[in-house]
Amino acid sequence: MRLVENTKVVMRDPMEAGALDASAKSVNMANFAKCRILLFITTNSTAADGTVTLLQGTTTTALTALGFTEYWKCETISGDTAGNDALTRVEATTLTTAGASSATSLYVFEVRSDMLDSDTFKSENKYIRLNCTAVTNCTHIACIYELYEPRYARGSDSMPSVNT
Amino acid sequence: MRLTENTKVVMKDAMGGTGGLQTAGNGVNMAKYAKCRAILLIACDDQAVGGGAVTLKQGTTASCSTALAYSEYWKNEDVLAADALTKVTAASCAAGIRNKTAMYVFEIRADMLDSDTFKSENQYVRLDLANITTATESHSLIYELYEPRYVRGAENMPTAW
Repeated sequence: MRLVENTKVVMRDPMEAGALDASAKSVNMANFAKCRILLFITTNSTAADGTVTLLQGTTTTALTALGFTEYWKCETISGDTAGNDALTRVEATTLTTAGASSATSLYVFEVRSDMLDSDTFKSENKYIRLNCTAVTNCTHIACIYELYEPRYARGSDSMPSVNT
Repeated sequence: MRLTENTKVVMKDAMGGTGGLQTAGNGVNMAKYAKCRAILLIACDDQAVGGGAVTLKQGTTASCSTALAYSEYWKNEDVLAADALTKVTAASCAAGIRNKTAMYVFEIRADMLDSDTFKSENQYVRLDLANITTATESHSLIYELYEPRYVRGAENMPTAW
């Protein structure tokens, strides 16, 4: 098993400074059971906190809150010691302090498709996105969606699209 | 199975860097993992691009400098517009696209690394990117080590430093 042949890696927001709150930049989980979201934030200031939420919707314009109960973090991911690749699990329903001061931080969210709201009128939510309001003095930010456990596995070159 | 409980995500080079990725001391240790996926993300500004050569390195310490051959990689040279990967069968790669964000994926197996009988087997790997000329790039390099020899969950995966 090679990861590249079993997951879909997607980047919908440019990796630059600024907030990740473009409402049309969602991914479609219809063809996948799970999605891991990796959020990397580099800051260079002592004041560097931002709020992260998850959103869901029926189109790429996802605006409905998607609750979560846990996430993982490593707030010194690019440091120079052995502890710099260790994740810490956080049991919480909010993350309001993303972006440690003068460091590169990694936050990981795991989303299962059965976490999304559904109803009986065929308007089930399929799209999700991470919403990150402005992180003060964020110098670089990158958000990577990785969808896995596809309903129809077809290999690295032909994994189902998640942009539509 | 959740990915975060079965893989180790590592970033050893500063995010958003320019001028290539040739930091010899930034190898990751595959001793406790069977495979490593390297994801290279490069955003170039709107100038002509002289692609940066991507090579893989191996070594006995984090300072890897011995060539590690590869025969294939995957690419999506406009990740903000589409999400399809293309497999490329090649032993070299010139990375970077004008005014686009491009992604390159390399898969490394532990048995690709050189070994000998004097206990100096290579355990460390890294990706090396030569400077992209004319255009200014912003890059991020993510290593993801997986298939650990000793699975222990998201918070306790063996270190890859």
